[in-house]
Amino acid sequence: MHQQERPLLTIKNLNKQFGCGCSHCRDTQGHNLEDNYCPVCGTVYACRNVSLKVYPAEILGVVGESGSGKSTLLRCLYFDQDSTSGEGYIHGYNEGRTNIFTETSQQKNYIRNHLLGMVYQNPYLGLRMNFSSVGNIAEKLIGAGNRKVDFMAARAQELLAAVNIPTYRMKEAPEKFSGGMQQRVQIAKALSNNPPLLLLDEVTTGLDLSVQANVLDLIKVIQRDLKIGMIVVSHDLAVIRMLTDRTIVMLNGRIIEHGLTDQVLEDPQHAYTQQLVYSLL
Amino acid sequence: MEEIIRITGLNKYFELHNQNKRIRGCQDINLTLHSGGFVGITGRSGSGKSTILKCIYRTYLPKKGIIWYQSQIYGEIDLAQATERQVIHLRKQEIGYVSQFLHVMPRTTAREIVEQAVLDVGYDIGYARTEAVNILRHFELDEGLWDTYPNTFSGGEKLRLNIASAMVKKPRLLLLDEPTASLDHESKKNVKVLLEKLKNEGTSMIGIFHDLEFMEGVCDREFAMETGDFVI
Ligand SMILES: Nc1ncnc2c1ncn2[C@@H]1O[C@H](COP(=O)(O)OP(=O)(O)OP(=O)(O)O)[C@@H](O)[C@H]1O
Ligand SMILES: Nc1ncnc2c1ncn2[C@@H]1O[C@H](COP(=O)(O)OP(=O)(O)OP(=O)(O)O)[C@@H](O)[C@H]1O
Ligand SMILES: [Mg+2]
Ligand SMILES: [Mg+2]
Ligand SMILES: [Zn+2]
Repeated sequence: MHQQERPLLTIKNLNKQFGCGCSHCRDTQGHNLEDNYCPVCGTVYACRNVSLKVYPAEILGVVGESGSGKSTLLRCLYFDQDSTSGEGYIHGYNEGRTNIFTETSQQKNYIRNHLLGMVYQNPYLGLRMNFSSVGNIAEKLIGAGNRKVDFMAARAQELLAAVNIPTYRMKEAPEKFSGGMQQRVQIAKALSNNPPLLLLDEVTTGLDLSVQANVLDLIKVIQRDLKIGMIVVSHDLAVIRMLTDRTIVMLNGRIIEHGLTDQVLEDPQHAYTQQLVYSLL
Repeated sequence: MEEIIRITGLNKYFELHNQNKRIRGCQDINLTLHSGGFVGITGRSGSGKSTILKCIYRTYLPKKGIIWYQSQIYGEIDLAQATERQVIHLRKQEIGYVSQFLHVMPRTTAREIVEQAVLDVGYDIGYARTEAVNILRHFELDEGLWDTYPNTFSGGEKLRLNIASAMVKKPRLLLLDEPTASLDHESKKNVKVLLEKLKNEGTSMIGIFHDLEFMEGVCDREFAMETGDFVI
């Protein structure tokens, strides 16, 4: 008989708000908000009671319209932003028994450097544009505690080769690269510490179709060969269908629907998901 | 005989909120499949045949009813209520689904697709390689195509690859939604041979075939949507 599966990541009731809230919007379950925004005090409720699980080697898709909170969710997970409240547990950190959101910033750094990889929607957030590509990867490796220069150089070259950056360009700074190449350097950087969990925010947005195919291909190969769990945020449902096993749908900071990806796309339950899916058919 | 599937009172409708409409998918379906059996579903277009298969595979969420399935990994399980993760495992290891439409990754070769299907079940790469070659040969997919990307394949070649990757897993339960719809005579014969072989190896199947002659050649029972019962 099958054993109970252990999730790689568990998020419970994650909240992120920008602003302090007021008597009009606090504790009202969002009834007095306009979308995710309080018209009285201007507080934005970017993530509201988000709960999810990611299992080892699984790809979870996140879809939803612009402003629904997808990037904020990833940024909270990567500790770029402090979450307002909520719990997060990651297997591989204290056996998944410690809430990562309430750890010290030093511990958060440890988790980020050893257990997480992030690819940003905007490559300027993920890369030092004027460092060499090799240097960008070395930076992440140093963060994870590496000190051996030879090892880091070899690892950087191996990773950049894996994402198809030609050897003769590895010493160049990403600012000289095309958008697709920048995303691939970001992916190489994110993978350098062998994280069990990779966070990908709109990695193919704004790229040419053929370049997109390249990046998608790379992600699928990484998942297949390295068995890394991933959260893939994309507004492109074709990308979601191609890459993910399960999908959550966000609207105004909330998860309004979740399911097997083919089920969410072919038999959407929520009015908003139906609109999202059918408007693209 | 032992049952592998017992569907009782299965109901599926689609609520289209934005149009304020409710569309009937299938209604009050009661259907059993014996272990090692092969049931063909017949009925007019729109009667809900595909809907039943998609509810079993959970591409559609059933609204009402029970789909008992005798699983190897979970024992007896109601597919209508199974968790998303359980369904993912069942799809990888036990339940195959073939339709006319192929969803594949760009830049994954035909050979890799078939090998991956075997790996998903949990076999090692050596076995996956051998089995992939065997099945690609069986379906007479031109050897020159094995290491190319299927997005340029003809309809029939795609379909043969699709069937090959579903069958190579030797699934415990195989769902077939008009898999032979656009195949030539020769390819249909290959499919038939393999269906019989799978059946002999113990795979249980439910299929929809627009070619009734083909269906009668492979199925041992026929379920008619019109009466909601088996035709003897
Ligand atoms: N630093 C900030 N200060 C105030 N509000 C913010 C901040 N960052 C994000 N927001 C707001 O939080 C909400 C969620 O934004 P987020 O970037 O997470 O959306 P998204 O789903 O990623 O959208 P997109 O698809 O456009 O990338 C938006 O209403 C946004 O305006
Ligand atoms: N995803 C869906 N959303 C809305 N309605 C659907 C969906 N899938 C099927 N239906 C409807 O459910 C009914 C049954 O469809 P189904 O595809 O099961 O028929 P079928 O018997 O397989 O027909 P055919 O022989 O033409 O393939 C039809 O009226 C169809 O329009
Ligand atoms: Mg965003
Ligand atoms: Mg049909
Ligand atoms: Zn307020």
